[in-house]
Amino acid sequence: MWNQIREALYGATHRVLLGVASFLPGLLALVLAVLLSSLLGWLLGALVGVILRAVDFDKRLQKWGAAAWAEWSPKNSPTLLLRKTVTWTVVVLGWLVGLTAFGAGVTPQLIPHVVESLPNLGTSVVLVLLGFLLARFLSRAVLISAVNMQIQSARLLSLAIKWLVLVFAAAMALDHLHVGGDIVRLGFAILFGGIVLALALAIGLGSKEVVSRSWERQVQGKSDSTEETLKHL
Amino acid sequence: MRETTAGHRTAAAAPSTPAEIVVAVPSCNHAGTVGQVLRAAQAGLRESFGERSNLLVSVDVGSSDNTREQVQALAAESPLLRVLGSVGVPSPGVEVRELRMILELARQVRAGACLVLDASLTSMGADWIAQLVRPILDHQIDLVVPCPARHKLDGGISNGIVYPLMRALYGKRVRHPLGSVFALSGRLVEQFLGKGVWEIEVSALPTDARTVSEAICGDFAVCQVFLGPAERAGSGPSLDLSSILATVLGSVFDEMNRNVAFWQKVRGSEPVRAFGAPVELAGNPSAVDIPKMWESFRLGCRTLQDVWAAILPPATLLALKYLAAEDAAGAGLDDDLWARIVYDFALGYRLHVMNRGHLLRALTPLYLGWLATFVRQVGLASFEDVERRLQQLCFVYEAQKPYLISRWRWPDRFNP
Repeated sequence: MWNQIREALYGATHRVLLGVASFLPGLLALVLAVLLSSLLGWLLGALVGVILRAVDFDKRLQKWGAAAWAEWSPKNSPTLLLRKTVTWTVVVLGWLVGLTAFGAGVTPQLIPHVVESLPNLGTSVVLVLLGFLLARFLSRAVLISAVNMQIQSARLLSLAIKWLVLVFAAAMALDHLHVGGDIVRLGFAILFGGIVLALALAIGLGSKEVVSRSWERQVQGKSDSTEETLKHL
Repeated sequence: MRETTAGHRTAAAAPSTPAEIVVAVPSCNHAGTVGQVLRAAQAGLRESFGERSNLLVSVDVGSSDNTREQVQALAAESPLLRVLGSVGVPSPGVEVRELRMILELARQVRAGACLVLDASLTSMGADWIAQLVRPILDHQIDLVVPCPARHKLDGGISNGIVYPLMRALYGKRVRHPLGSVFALSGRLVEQFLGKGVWEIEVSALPTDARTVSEAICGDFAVCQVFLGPAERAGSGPSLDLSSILATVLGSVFDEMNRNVAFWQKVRGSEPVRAFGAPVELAGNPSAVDIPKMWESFRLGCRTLQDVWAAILPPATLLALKYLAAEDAAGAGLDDDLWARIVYDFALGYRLHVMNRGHLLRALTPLYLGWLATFVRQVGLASFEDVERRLQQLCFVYEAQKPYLISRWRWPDRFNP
């Protein structure tokens, strides 16, 4: 009986050790790939940064009329944007190599699935990024215009625009990833419709008198604000 | 070209015989006023320069009303007037270079003086022609800038930003550096054609700073002529205050970026030659709602802090925060703070810290805050006292110029 118990224990230990032995190289390969790619990414990024700074890339870009790039870049520096893009591309590639090495022993189906989903994932990330940039741009434009029109709730308006665009972008991204299916679409429609209705009611009820006064002035041909009687230029 | 009974030279299409004076009236949908301006110009040329060879030219830029018909009818009965040619209806994306046509014509006929008039003027007198052209012909001036009569409180953007800023930058005291009426010498016409200054569209001239800055940077003699009132009839949609600010300051800041090497060497300012004396526009003072303007400033301070934080240094933001707590009767924006704010916006524009349209429009509440302070200080003062107060403001701009230069050169290191 002891022999049978010993054999069972040996067998189990052997299988566990065998499993660990087959798992460890993949894990080590993943860790190594991530570490190496991070190092390589950092080095390449730094190299790109040095080269671009040496050629005064940010100023040249401004001279070439691509100044809008700067606005969309972190800290208004296209050099930094390119440097980070290079670094993170190498790091993501390192992860993929590591996962391939790791997955060869553990989950062989994972990598093809990830690779197949990559275009959709990339498009969704781009959609979210564009949504974020557009939301920032529009919310600032609305904020400044509303303050210049002396609307007290300018910040609220700006926030509403920002979240409308963000929700819209997020819904598009999720739909593209086929996550949530109809629930996302329905949820978005309800949320979007709700926000628009709330805004329409708020503006309609809140500024009813302002609008009617403004119309009255327009019909009578009077100026809408007193400081307009001054010539500013 | 042909000789008329009055001794004036006129041209059929592209005149090549020399003309000493060219007076050009570009127009676009100015049917209500173009005839009046052309008749006044014609009378002015006859009265003051009848003995000289001169040319009155109309350039239409795609009018959709009956401006062209009016000009043609006038040309048929006037020996002086020639229609240079219509640029046609401008379509989107097509650049209209009507100013180039005028300058090239002036060069072609070897004009000693080229006067550009605004077709929307409703109060132009025939005497304007002599007043604007004589300094060039008799005093070797290269650019004549008119200073029309105005009410003491009018021209807030010009008084509070454009005049003091351009005076501090370029070192010349040109009281009204923006305008769609100006006279150029033949020498300056050559310079403008050589350097592409004609790229300004005539419709943008009322808010363009390039003519004056280019003349000063090129070391040409500039003078100003004090005239009577210059009332204008609007021919397009009227712009709101923030759009006017954005257009005007965009032009001034663009020139600042273009002429860095020049203005960084300039210290102080000197008067330019002036003909005539400043005139105050008669009539009742404009009604100004100071509390409303101050409230706009306070709303901006409460709401736009995040936007301004990208443009203004921390010390200025703090000062604005304290000011926002005051009411309209408080101390208001002092000149030092205001000059630094304008300089910081110029720097933000140069560094492209955000969309330039947003940046320029974000100045509106601050401008209203300054205007409320200014009007409260000088509302009851005389015209001369208001001018003296503006001189003080200009000296502050000049005194704060080292701040601008430091921030311009080291925007990251010098951020008080």
